[in-house]
Amino acid sequence: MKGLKMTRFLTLGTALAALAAPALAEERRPTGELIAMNCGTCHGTYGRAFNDSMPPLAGMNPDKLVNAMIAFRDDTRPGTIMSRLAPAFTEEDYRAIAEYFAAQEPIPYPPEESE
Amino acid sequence: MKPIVIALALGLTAGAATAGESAAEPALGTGELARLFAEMPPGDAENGAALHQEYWCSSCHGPSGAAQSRNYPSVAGQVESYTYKVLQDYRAHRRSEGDGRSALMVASVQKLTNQELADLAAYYASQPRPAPSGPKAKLSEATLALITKGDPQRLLTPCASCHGADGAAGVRPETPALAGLEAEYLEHTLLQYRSGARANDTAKGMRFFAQQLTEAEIKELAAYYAGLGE
Amino acid sequence: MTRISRRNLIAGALAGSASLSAPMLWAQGAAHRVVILGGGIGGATAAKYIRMINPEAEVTIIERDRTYYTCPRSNDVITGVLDLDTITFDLSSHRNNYGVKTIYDEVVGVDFDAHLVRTADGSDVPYDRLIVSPGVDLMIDQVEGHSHQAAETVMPHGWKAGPQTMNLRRQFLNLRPGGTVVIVAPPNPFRCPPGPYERASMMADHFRHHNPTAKVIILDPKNKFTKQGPFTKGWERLYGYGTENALLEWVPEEQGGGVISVDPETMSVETAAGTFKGDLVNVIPPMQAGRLAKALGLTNETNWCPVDQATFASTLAPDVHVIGDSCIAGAMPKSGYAANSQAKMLAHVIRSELQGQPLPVPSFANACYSLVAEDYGVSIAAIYAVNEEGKIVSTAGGVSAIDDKPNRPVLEAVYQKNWHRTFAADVFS
Repeated sequence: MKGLKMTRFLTLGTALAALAAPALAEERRPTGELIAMNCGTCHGTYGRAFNDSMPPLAGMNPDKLVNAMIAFRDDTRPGTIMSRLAPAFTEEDYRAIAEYFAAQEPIPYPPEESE
Repeated sequence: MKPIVIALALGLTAGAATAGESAAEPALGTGELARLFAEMPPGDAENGAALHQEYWCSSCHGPSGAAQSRNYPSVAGQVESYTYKVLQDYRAHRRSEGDGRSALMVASVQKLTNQELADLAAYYASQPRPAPSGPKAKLSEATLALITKGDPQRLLTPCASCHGADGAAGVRPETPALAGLEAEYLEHTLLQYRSGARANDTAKGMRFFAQQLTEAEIKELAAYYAGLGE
Repeated sequence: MTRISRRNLIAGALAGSASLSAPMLWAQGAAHRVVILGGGIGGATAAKYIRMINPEAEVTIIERDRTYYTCPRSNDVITGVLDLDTITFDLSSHRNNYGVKTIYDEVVGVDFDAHLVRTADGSDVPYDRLIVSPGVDLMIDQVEGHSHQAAETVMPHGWKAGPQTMNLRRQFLNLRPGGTVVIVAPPNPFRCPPGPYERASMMADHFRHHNPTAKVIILDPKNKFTKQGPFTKGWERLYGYGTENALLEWVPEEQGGGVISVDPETMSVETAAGTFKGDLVNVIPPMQAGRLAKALGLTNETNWCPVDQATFASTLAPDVHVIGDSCIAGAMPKSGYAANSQAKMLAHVIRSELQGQPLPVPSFANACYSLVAEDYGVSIAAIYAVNEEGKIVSTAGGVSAIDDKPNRPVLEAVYQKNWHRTFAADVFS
């Protein structure tokens, strides 16, 4: 679906979100690579972090990732942060992000030392 | 004879104080474990399904308990008593491999009652078991023997004697089904038992086993069980 | 920090005003030298990501301090639930893994015309592109009665992590039974919008367990703050907020919370609502762009750095980008996550220019977890884009829902620790 789904707004009293979306919807979208780099802040550089809270995305099956984003967007999968971020992107964006991560080298399971 | 009994009789202690030793609460003793199962309330799978959403379980374990990503295993179709026991272990900090590994599970179940844990266990047990997560593995003769015959030299009884011929669990309530679980998760689990980081196994049963296995065997066994199931 | 020579800077600023209209392309065949002023979150992320996706670029960080302490989780260090080590980092991975050059020195001037950075030891560092990421300047002198000496001793700010953090921690953990902490919150805009409220929360959490007759009072020149709904709900649930014996109080401007003056001698703070005395007084002063940015002429009348919000190119100097707290970034808050996101964008802008490609369509993110208690977290998250007017706006986002789901705040507290670990590795590993 082209265009941004405006189902959520920043609850800081700014109505900026409502004004922003239409101008961007029909234009070029950011690349999957750039969006994915921002995912890396939580999911690890190149999606290669391993902790119980934020799953590693490197090498993830792209359909799984796309479906996860759709589920977070539609609230069929409970999320905290992800439910608020997923609506910013189109399904084409999800596919672009997924393809980027699918191409990344998966991180090996972490070695057995205590943290 | 059961390996745990042998181990105790010969005074063998697996997992002496090493760097990987868990800081968790000690595992339930044999009597305590029996009491846990005796006191386990009958679970309401329907309520379990609701809890699965309400408590964010589905967020990590998937809409019906099948793994969504590499750091959360499938819980669908798991043995009801095993799930109950492991959730109890998380809540009591008995399964607590350290920050970044099990802290999320420990935190997630703090506010759940015994009844709710039983309900979740019943719900997961009612879900279909995961499909094989890997290809059907070709085992070496030696490792196949471990599964079907064990290894008297290392005092190992066959894996199948507890985990079942097809990895779908066996006679003991605290033994999980393994079929279809992700190979790297199984490998990781055995390595954690081996180092003592995971220490919620009563009488060090699994720790003893894992310490006797080589890393190559662990890899093979993990791949084998991952490839089982419909 | 040494005073910047005005001579150099004026020369630089005037000389540089000519070619600002179009982004300057890299000279053909010239070395692609990127010099970054500031090795904190913005600068370190920029250095790493520029090298990661532009291996032909030579990147140099000029930074005064050899050790960096993250403000994220510093509130946990202050209240004794975390050790300093967990928030301690350096640029060794940048050198060893990414081939970034590091110069530990102060900057005394920039010649924008000649594209040279002059450091305190007299060296000139040439650049093709300059990135300035100097964080914030804490305007201690704007607080009546306050002094730099007091800020290092009895009225610390704890708004640049490290020794300030440990000072606050020492004083906090030695608070007498039934003691009072006074936190003076800053006016907008400031670095880390939820910071003062998380700090007060973690202090109240400590009191709940260890000092139940103590209290923390936030004196605020503002009438609202970020994540206010979730914070307030958490305070009600955990600290008796709004009741007689609350562990935590918030005095907004409309109730006289704006500070008139402070007195380090008597440890008191004068406001329209009266005089507040604290056993510990944490004054978080008003802020501006990092002193270096101002001295280099990169700030406007607001004392923050105006930039093209799609490329972070300074509108006041050619071939200069400003990222992080110092810059004016539309709807993006002044957070470490935002600085990191802007830095990544910059790496893409530079790559596009090096390869003669059109500039990338911007996309930014911010996510921020705050602890209301050690096992109770709240968060805010948003995605940003640049609108037709060239301004950064949010396209989706929100704060934690307030509901009765018991696991929501529990999970968010766990996420906070994990996020910090991954974030710090993304910046420094």
